[in-house]
Amino acid sequence: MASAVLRRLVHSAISLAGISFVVFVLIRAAPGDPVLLHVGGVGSRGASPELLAAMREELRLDEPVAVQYLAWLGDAVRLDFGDSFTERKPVAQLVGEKLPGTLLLLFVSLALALAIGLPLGMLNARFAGGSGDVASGFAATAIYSIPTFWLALLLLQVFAIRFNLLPLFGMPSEDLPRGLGRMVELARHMVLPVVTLAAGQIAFLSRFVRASMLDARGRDYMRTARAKGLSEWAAIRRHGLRNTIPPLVSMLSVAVPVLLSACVVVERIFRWEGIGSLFVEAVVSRDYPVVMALTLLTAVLSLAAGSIADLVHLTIDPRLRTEGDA
Amino acid sequence: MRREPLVRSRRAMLAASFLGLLMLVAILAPLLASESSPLVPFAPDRVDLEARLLPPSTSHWFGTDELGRDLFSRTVHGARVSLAVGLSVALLALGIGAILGALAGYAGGAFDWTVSRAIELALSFPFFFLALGVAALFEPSFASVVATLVAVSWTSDAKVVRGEIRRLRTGDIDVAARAAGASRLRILFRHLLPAAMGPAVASAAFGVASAIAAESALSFLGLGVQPPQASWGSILASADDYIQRAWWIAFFPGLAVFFTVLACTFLGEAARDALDPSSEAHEPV
Repeated sequence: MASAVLRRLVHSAISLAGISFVVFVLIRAAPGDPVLLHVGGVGSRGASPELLAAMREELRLDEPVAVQYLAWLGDAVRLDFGDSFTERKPVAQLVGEKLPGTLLLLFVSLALALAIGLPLGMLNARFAGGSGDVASGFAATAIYSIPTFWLALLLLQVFAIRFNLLPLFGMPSEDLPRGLGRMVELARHMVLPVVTLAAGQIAFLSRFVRASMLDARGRDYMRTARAKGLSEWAAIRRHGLRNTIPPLVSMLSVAVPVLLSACVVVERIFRWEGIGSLFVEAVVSRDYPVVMALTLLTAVLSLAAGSIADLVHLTIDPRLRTEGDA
Repeated sequence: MRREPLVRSRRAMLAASFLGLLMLVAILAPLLASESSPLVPFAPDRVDLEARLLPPSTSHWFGTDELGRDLFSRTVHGARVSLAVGLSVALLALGIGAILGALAGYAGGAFDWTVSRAIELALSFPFFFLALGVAALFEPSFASVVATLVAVSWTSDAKVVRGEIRRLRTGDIDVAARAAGASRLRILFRHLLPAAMGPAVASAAFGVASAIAAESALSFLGLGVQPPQASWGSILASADDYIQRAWWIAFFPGLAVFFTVLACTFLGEAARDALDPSSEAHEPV
């Protein structure tokens, strides 16, 4: 298993190099001249051809793609992603400013999904086939099918506009002093985006937990648990749950790329400052350095989630350690 | 051990009827909603500034948008685009995924390694980031949306087919075909692939569902089908700016996406249960 983790890390590194190269090449083949967009963004109309040529040279856009890529890769491993074309500051700084917003949404919605999805799945498994189970199975499929942006717009409509319970969108103002008041304000702004993100995951996790519980139910250790006099619920809670954790850890790591995808739309609708909304802006304005950095970052986050899941498996499941590295 | 045949699942029948009706509406859209139609006398792109942002009423069933265009007409015409995207993406992804997955599973070696890395990568990478990145390469249009979504979704079909081919390639079919003197390519495409396609075909409905959802999200962000052409997502794009004043712009096209995705999902679940015996494990004990 340890060597499997190592192999996975090597694969991840190869994958990262591969995806960064593909994106790098493709994005340069795209229509839309970044230099012209750049000049347009700065606002100087009718820039001279000499100026444009000078800018191309400065941004290394006149060199062969392979040379450009190697130069970019050399800088990237030192976390130097160059300057944003549109924002006029280092990409690393720009991304660093936006990343916490996205990570906050990501972790809180994942925690919420787990807090509701796990017990719900256990209950559904305990009363499998009952009307509650059937109803929540139907609800789960329905919720999982709701388009993210539609759910977001509906929640906004009901809770922010119709009943005015929560802020419409955005983040707490910078002027607000740090402290409890700011935390409460942040929490109020987070409710709707987090619920939007978590809804689909709650639906998915509850069905997943239910299925693995039902799978566990017929196993010998569950029969033993029942034979020694545990109630069905206690057997599920103590023995079934424990055996559901390893696949659940894998599922949670798979949820990371799914949630990151959803963040693109959610951040845009709720005017939340994060890497999702930054990515859309960068794609539209052909801000190559930002697109490259974010592509790499989301790939790293997703692959890291997978590697963390591996490590958690190693830690919580002693069988994986004693089996040897076959 | 009770297995419900596809046609006996009520949920699947309901879903299929809904999709059939939707397709009929999409095909008949020019008759249903146009200037000369007795039912809905509004062309989808007829601008009427007198009638801006009107709520749903008996004359404008779904209300009007910021240019006074009738939203019922736009939603009905949008069904043509959204369904066309969904079906063509699912079919193309299935075709490309099946061929690459089959070749990789049968040939092994460096080709298999490359395809497998691509599959692994695409499945571990945030789908929508990938789609946005690819979408940025093209001038947004119907074709660019289809190309983008095929480029990021063939991998899940390839993964399924590759797995099936690897399971089958040392089995009876292979031995029998080889004994009959068939060439390797012939064995693969005439004998193994048809036997390996079941699970991938069963999941095609899920492919349609996710393509329709992804198209609407791309168009919502302005990177998909471009106005004035109506798709469910491009109608929603303007909804974001008018959310405080006109809830109906977002509500109806979103509802259309929701019902369509839900119907495809129900159909996919029923197809999987009917074709794939291993899904019985998920039935209540």
